[in-house]
Amino acid sequence: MAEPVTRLDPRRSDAALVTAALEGDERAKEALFRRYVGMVSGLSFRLLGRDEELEDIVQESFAQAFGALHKLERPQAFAAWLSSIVTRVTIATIRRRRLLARLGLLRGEPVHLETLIASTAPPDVVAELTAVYGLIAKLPVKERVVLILRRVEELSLEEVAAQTGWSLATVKRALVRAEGLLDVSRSRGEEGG
Amino acid sequence: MRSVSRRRIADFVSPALSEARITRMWSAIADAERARLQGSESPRSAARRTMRWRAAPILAAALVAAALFLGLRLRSPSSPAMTGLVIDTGAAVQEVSLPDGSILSLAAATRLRVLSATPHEVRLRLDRGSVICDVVHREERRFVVAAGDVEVEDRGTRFAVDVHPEANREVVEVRVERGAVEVRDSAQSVVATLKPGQDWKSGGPEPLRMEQPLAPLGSGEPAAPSASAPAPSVPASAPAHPASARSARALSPEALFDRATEARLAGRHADAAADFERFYRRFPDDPRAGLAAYELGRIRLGSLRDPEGAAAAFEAVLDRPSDPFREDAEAARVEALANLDDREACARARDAFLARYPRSPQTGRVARLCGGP
Repeated sequence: MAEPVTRLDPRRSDAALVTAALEGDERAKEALFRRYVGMVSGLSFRLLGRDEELEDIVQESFAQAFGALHKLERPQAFAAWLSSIVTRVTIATIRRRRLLARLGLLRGEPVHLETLIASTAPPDVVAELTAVYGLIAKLPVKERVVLILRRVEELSLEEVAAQTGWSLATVKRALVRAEGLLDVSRSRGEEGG
Repeated sequence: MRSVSRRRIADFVSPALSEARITRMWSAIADAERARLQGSESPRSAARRTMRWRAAPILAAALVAAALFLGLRLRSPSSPAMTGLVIDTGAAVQEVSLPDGSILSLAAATRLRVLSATPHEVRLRLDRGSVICDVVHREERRFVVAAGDVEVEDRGTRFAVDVHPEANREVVEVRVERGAVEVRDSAQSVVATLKPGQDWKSGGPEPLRMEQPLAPLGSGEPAAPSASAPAPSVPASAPAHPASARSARALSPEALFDRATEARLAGRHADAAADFERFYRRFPDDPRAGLAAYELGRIRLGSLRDPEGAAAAFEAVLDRPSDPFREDAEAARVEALANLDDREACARARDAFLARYPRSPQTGRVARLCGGP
């Protein structure tokens, strides 16, 4: 009997699993999935600001990754490559939802901060996340994505550019606009009290 | 900010990832991956893709037109061109769609010949192995599977036939899930008429029940061996390998569950379904019994295209009030009912789910099913 996936050596590197997956080893694919499902779900969840459609995105991201695995030049870079895939799939989802909302085919849904932010978060983190997620629904897609990747994921500008596939200049411009709106939003909040 | 906490900010914004949810996602990915490798699209991804675009009226209209076109093609008479076809599955599980929409699921190491396929008769010969026949029943056409010295004639929709050597003779076993079949001997005399849940084995004086009687959808069932709980209703999957059924009786819960999982991962859907069902029936008190029923339902819904059986398997999970897969099963049951085109039952199940789990991550998907907004 073949070895169950749960008993696969957890120390096997990403590169070894990618190589095995390319040779048709389904357990290696499942091992990669289980290793990165938390990362993929978390990243998408934070970009979306909600749980709805999360599973579709996770499934689509892994499906795209496995379908294009032969194009991955550096198997050891699987995690970063997968991050860029899930980022792009999530961006496409956000854009589609916005389009449908504009056409009146989808209701705009507010972000529920109480379900989004863990109850264990310290007050300053709650304040930061509340400011960011209170704003994202009003931001254009690029500004929204860049703001979350920078403020929540804490990526460098270069990493944001690599993950989104946008140029560094585009990322910088989007971040400047988003940060400006965040400042305005915060000062209004402080004035309001 | 970073001085306040050593944890990343992102760590405080994470989705709930239960084992059930992870398992469900992986199963969908594995299905899609298998379909991709076979050059087709998995039913779940096809459904998801269709759902994703349902709001776009023009695309929806195009899809409806395409579906109607395909539907008409599928309902065209049986194809004489299939006559003479020999299917030898080798090491793989194979599924064959007949032109009328009937589906044959062949286990590994199966050889099946199409003796005739006309508007009046489909006649198959099972030389070895197992086949599950999900038949579009038509009064004007006979659907017959010949195996060993007997013929099994469809009187309903879904049955399994297995032929294998046993003690120097060829033994045929038949099991019915839905509808009815007649078993005839070489003189065309009816030797058994089987209804849902009944099995028959050649060489026995009477129709033989190999396992628990099977319950129709939604009804009760005699208890499986359990000290604490009555056995919930799970219509049986056809046994792809009765020999496997026998060997399963000697397996521990861990070994049987592992074997079912192995079969699922290897794409042997009928085997996996049979083992998950065996697990559920033999070990109803095991903490994984609900997962086994849930997996059984998923396989029936996806790979085996049996939404009715899937709904029953999901209902078995719902009979376990504290089962961690209850929420998933209830959502999946709505999907199964949607696939059955039972809009009324689907809408009831959907509304019940939304009322019970308003914050579920599956709320959006479920809400869109069976004509939801």
